[in-house]
Amino acid sequence: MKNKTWWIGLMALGILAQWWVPGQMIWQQERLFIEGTAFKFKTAPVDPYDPFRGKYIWLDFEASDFDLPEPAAFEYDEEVFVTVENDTAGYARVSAVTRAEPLNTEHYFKANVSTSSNRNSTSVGLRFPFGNFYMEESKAYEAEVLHREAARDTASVTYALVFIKNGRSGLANVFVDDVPIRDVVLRNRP
Amino acid sequence: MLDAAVIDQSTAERIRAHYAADAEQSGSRLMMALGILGAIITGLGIILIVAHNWDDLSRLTKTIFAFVPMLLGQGLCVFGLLRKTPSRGLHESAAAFTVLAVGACISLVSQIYHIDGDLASFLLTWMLLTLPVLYVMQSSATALLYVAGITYYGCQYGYFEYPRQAPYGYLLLMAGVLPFYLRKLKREKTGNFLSFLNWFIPISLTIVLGAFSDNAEEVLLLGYMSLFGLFSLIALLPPFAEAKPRNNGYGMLGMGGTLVLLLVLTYEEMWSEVWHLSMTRLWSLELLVAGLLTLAGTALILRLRHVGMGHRVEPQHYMFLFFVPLFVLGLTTNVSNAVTNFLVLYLGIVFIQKGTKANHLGWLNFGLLIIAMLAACRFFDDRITFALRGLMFIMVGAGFFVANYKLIKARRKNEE
Repeated sequence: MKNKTWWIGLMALGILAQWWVPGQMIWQQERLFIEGTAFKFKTAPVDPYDPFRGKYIWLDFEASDFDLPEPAAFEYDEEVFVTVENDTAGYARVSAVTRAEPLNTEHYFKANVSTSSNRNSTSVGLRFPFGNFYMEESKAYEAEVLHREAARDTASVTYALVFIKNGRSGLANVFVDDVPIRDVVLRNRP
Repeated sequence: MLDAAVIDQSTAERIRAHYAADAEQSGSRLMMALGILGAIITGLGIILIVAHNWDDLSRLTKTIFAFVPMLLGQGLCVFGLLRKTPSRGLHESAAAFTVLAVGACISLVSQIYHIDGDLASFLLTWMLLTLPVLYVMQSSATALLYVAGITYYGCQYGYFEYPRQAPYGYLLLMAGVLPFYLRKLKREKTGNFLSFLNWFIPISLTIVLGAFSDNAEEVLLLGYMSLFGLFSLIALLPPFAEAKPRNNGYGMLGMGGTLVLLLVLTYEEMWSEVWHLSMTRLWSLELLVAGLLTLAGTALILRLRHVGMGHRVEPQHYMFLFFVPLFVLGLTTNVSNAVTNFLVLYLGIVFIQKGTKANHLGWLNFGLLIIAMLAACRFFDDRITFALRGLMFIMVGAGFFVANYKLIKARRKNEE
């Protein structure tokens, strides 16, 4: 009987851990959506596939190529802090890429370097941690086609709404001309 | 037989009881297998339904749905544990279902919140959360899912992701299942799930070993040879030695792997890679891994001798030790290629002798097959003249005929 109590205790711990992992993922994202600042990142979506999480659109951000104020070397996949601000049109632009955590602002997030460079490099490629927007499987491809068509129309803008605070970032939605991409796909269906 | 007075009444009843128990056991085993299969298929179905991403539902509804299968699985596990008469089938299927539901839950939460985690860290988290279920439910089906999962993790981390890194975490995860596996081996010795584990574990190690590679892939040859040597020695240990060959994954994989590797190395091109290996590249992670595996193999030979099982170690089990000086020789000379050919020939002769001594057609033909494979590899070798190659084939063909004929004749003589 004592042995059984042990097993049940261990199972309870296991169950607790199994709830804690997804639970803290939800908690952190929800907190970010409440406390973080929303930025609009101009983007182009592409439609790939994840075996576990399904179809998503991969977001190719305009702001992911950053011109360095002075030449610097970064290693591929290196973790950096990206500080953002809004441009005159209200879209996000990268204002600094640093190895050290910024102290004078909370509008920064962690990202990885997507290019390798030498010490004379004047620009750096970045891989943002909010590059995947998951959609219902039938809509992901349509969203990509839709964007491709919209791209011909230079007045049309696709952007990702991202909440940012003190190193963390969370993707809330993707919009085409201020309309959620899901609604645009539904509206364009025959 | 009862009417003919061949057996008496009590013997007849014992026979009936024996067959009835047998039928019942195989019935419950079938039920368990179907239960586990059902749980796994349902779990995989849930993962696919989750992947569809029902975006008509609100974030809250989707999040609640993400937890429902996991809750159901955990409920079934607790129910199975609290039952007065434990049911193996319920334990196995509830555990397998829970494990898949946990993976589905994390995936769904990542999907709902567009969290961009990498696959390797997802697999790592998932497998760590699997361990308590494995131990508490004592579920072998979960152990199989776990080994498959950690193999995927090892490959994702060590092969597929860039920059490639050695998956040391995989070793810790593998160590995590070992207490369960060793306990199972001690208690059950044989059994369907155990036979599967006896295959899954060496296959997993074989797949992931290559990921422990830095910049000297050629040295992996040494590592793989020692790994296969270690497997064939593990196969000599008590729980495996008594098992049928098909249930002894270590033996089959160890010997098969050694043979394939040696046959590949009968080609000169393979050795030329080793020949071009510089000293600076030689001192590598691969060399450390190969050294550790060789040491482990040697220690196992000594242990087998120490416990009086030294007679089980036959010449073919020493192949990995022969290979060490051969590899060192291959770094500076090109004689290793020729020696490998002789080593394969020797291996063939060893099995032919074993078959003849034990009057075992299987071993005899395996030995002949090794020589035939060697001859087939040399069929395309343009360094040997057509006439010599032809002669080689005739000799192997004649060998097959003569050896089998002699053995069968000797058997008949014994029977008379």
